[in-house]
Amino acid sequence: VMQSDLDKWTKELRKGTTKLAILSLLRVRDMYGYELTKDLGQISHGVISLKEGNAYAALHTMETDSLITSYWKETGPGMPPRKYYSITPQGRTFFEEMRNEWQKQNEAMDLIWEYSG
Amino acid sequence: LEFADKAKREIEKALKDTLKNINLDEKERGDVEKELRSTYYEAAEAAARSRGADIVAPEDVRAAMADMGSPAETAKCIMRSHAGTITRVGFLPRLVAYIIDYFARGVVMYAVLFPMALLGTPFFNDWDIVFFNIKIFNFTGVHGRSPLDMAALIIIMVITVIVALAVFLCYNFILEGRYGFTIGKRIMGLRVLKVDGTKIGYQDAFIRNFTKYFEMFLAIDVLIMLMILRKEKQRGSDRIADTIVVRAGGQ
Repeated sequence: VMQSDLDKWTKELRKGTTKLAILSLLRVRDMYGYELTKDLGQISHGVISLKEGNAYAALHTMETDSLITSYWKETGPGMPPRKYYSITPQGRTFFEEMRNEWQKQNEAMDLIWEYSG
Repeated sequence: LEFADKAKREIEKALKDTLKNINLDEKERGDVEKELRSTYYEAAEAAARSRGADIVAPEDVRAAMADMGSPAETAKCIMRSHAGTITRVGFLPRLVAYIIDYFARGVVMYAVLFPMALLGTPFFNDWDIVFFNIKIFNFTGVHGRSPLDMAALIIIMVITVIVALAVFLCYNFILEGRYGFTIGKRIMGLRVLKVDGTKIGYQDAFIRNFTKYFEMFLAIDVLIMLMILRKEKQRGSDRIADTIVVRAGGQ
């Protein structure tokens, strides 16, 4: 398989996971954008690594869809205020549904992989 | 951690590079700026911490930026996520911009032609024919000139015509390709973007301006917008180039 084909496919796959991963972290606590991308990278051992633009795009879209809300908060001296994101009740419901669907897909793929004719 | 002044300047520069491709209304653009600034500061501070420094230096900013993707890339993603909320501009403001450009382009062309005409003047006995009228092509006033002088005159005239023609041909697409607007569009507060909200390139600008070379084609192109692509507010060539004209936000 060509490397570029694999990259394309991985990119598609990642599009589906970004939203799920961000919502999952926001269930734990409110976070600001940089913290979110850094933590996602660390927790997933670098597998889920978001560029700034993609993180912004995902957060903005989810905010428009009312899955999350945001507020500004002052931080220590010398640092600019941070924009914190928090998950809404709608976001929580949507997350549970997404996760169920994700697990269903996973189980289905497992069955397909185990099939031996 | 403390930030070195140079590091702060580096952050502001990166921020400016990103924001110049962000075409949103004042408020939203302000929000994007504030959030990006915060992110760049946090990332630079983290980079300094990871190398055990107690002051954030420009190299930390550069390391952070390398991790986050280029300003152009970031701007592209941001604009794509806002694409749904961009309002397109229709016929009238664009017509006014076109008329302004028509004269602006003429002024630029004369600005090129005039000094060139002055350069050619010494070749003529009659100072009356500075402004190329038919007489020049009859070579009135150049009888008795040496072939070398004549060659020089012809070269000046050819260069003049080429430069003036180049201004005529390039005005629209070079300006739009480089800045996203012409002088007329700038005055009218308009800007050309790709349909997904990102910046256009020279190729897009060339395609969407091609019919402006031929007024007949331009008329048809505009009619397509007025009759068929009314909702999309695109000329036929906008459709081909995948471009739209929008109100310029927050510049």
